[in-house]
Amino acid sequence: MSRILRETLRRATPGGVFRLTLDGVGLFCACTLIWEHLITVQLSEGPSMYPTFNPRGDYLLISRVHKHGRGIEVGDVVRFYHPTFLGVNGAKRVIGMPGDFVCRDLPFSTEVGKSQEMIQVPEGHVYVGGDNLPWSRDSRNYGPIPMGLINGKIIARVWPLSKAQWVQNTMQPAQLDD
Amino acid sequence: MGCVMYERLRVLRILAPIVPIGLFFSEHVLGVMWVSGPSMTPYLNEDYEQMHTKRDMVLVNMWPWGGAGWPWERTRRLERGMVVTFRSPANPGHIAIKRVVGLPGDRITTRDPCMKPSQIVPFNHVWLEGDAADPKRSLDSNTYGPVSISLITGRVMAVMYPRFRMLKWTDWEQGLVEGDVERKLGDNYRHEVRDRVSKEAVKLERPVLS
Amino acid sequence: MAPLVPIFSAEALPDHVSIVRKNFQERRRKGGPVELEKCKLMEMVQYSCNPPQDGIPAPGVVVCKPVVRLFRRCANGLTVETTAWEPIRLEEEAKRKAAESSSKVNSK
Repeated sequence: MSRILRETLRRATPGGVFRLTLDGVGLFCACTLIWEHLITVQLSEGPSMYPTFNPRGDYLLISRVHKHGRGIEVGDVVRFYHPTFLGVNGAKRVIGMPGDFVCRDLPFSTEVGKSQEMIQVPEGHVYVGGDNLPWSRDSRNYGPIPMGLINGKIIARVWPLSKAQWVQNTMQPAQLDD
Repeated sequence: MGCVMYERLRVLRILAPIVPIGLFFSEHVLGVMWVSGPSMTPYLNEDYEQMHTKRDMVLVNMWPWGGAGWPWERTRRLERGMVVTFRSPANPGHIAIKRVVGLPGDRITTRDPCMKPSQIVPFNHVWLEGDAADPKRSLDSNTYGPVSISLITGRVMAVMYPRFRMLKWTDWEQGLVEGDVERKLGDNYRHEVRDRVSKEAVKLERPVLS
Repeated sequence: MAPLVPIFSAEALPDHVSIVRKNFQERRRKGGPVELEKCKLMEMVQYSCNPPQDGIPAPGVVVCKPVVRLFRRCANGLTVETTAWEPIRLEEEAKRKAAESSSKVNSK
């Protein structure tokens, strides 16, 4: 024990300590940059995306490459800084990209299209909606959100392990016969 | 031959942590930005009329308002008159610079492209406008509505080029422009903008029948 | 809050589809009018689980009703949500077919 202590004290020259702190700070900054520009894991909460995500909370893998709406399409689940609450993130599915047309429903409505009203999504904004319509606070409440608020695309659920799966883009060719 | 390689590797090894520290610093602490466009004349880019290519260089402070909190708290202490940088709601790939004219709760009398004659600034949003006298030269809240505070990335602290001057937002209320010794910009700078803002109108407008 | 956008009725959808907004100004879409019927029909399924209107459920019971959103994805990348417009289109087609078949009967 005292031998280890003597060894470290011998190595702790001013130059060595400086290099160590520099390496430590550099590693911290590099990890922060990766966390903000490449990939992140975060716990979700709330019933607005049931049955895609568990209301009790799932750990989600988020790709930060898709921030500001790069590479996002209709049907992707995105994470965004909440427009009305500072410091909070929201996760919803994209219903309309800039220039698209969407049905405008009342907040917390259980159906889509009942009010027969439509809007065009303004440029630079996206219209988001949760998968559990009556329990989701989304663009029906606060309108289309600017794409600058988007900070990542949710690509998978990583915990609990038994339910680990990729998050699908649910937009698919229609299978009805009318 | 082997010695030179070793020396180079050693230099690289010492410089390696500097790169992420530098990137982190320029993104989260202090950064430099070039201002292009006429929307903030004559406050920034004063010579836009004569020289469209000469751009002002500004120093942007990205730390949440000088120690108002740690990075994960994301608190913002914004005041009217601050010049801020933010992700433009019209184009998410572009960072824009405008002045904060209205805080949450103010009632703004809007100008040109806006279709509603007056708007109240909602919670967690601010009203941003460019300083240009002609509203058509500025793409701001009059076009895309109040801007969410979550979009704001930093506050402009100083202009570095052509002339160095520290920007003091407190002068906005008195109509002064720092560094304007010759009074080129006149007295009571942009008072017509301040006249259109009814501060904290939500506290004054009482939703009762009387 | 978002910029102020006009709201229109689902019946007027085919007219509005040919308006495009660039720099927050309205312009006619280049390349001719967009025909919604010819665009590819897509669907997205969302759910309405335990809505509060249905009362308080028994503990542990979750009842989900699927809600289908219909879209038309056109060749130029435009995606139009037609959940409200499809029934209108089907009604018009049915009326047109009824009118055609009755006029055929008359001419015979």
